[in-house]
Amino acid sequence: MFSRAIKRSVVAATAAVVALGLGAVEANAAPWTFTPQNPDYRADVSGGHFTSQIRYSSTAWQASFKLDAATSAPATGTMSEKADLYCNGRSFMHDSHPAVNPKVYVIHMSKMLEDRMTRCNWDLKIHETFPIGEDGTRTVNVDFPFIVTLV
Amino acid sequence: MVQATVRQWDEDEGWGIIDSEETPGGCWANFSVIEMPGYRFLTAGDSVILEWEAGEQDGFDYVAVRITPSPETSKG
Repeated sequence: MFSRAIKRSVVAATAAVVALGLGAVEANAAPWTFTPQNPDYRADVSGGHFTSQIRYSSTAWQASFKLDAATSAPATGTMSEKADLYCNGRSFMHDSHPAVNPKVYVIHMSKMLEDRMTRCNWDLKIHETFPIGEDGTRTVNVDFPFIVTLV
Repeated sequence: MVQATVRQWDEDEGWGIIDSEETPGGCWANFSVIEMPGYRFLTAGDSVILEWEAGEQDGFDYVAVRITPSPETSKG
């Protein structure tokens, strides 16, 4: 059930495509639904571990993603990361880190959704790249569509 | 694993700092590694069992990889 919400999570290298756990990919997956009874989401996806949760009392949304050891082990340099949260297709939050250690860094983000919390079809997109080998690049993309309901 | 105490926790941002003898200067911690069901959070002063690794995270030299609230402070 957890894998349904991660619409697309792909690890690729310029030299050769590395597909890890592509069973998690589902092109038209339904968005994950946060409810007061189920305010959290956790899943091992291609390339790492993804989590997200809602603090209903304040409308705070939180998410994190950490690469797994197999994915980050070949890294030969720092990782560039950016994350974008969209509300009904329009940009709502942007976060980026230009040079972090892919082997240990926890990508994390939070945002107060306020009155938009239950009005938006949310979509989080994370994009990470880091060098591998002498001239390769590994890319990790995570797409997490979700909605928030009060019941 | 080491016994540790939560120094601070930002519940809206989902991260905080945990102190232990093995992590001088503090250990950065994210909600994702807290072992509890449902919405995950800690409170300053909580006693926890901490598993950590050396890292470079937001100005700290240690990163939590698993946090288990002590039974007396368990929120689960």
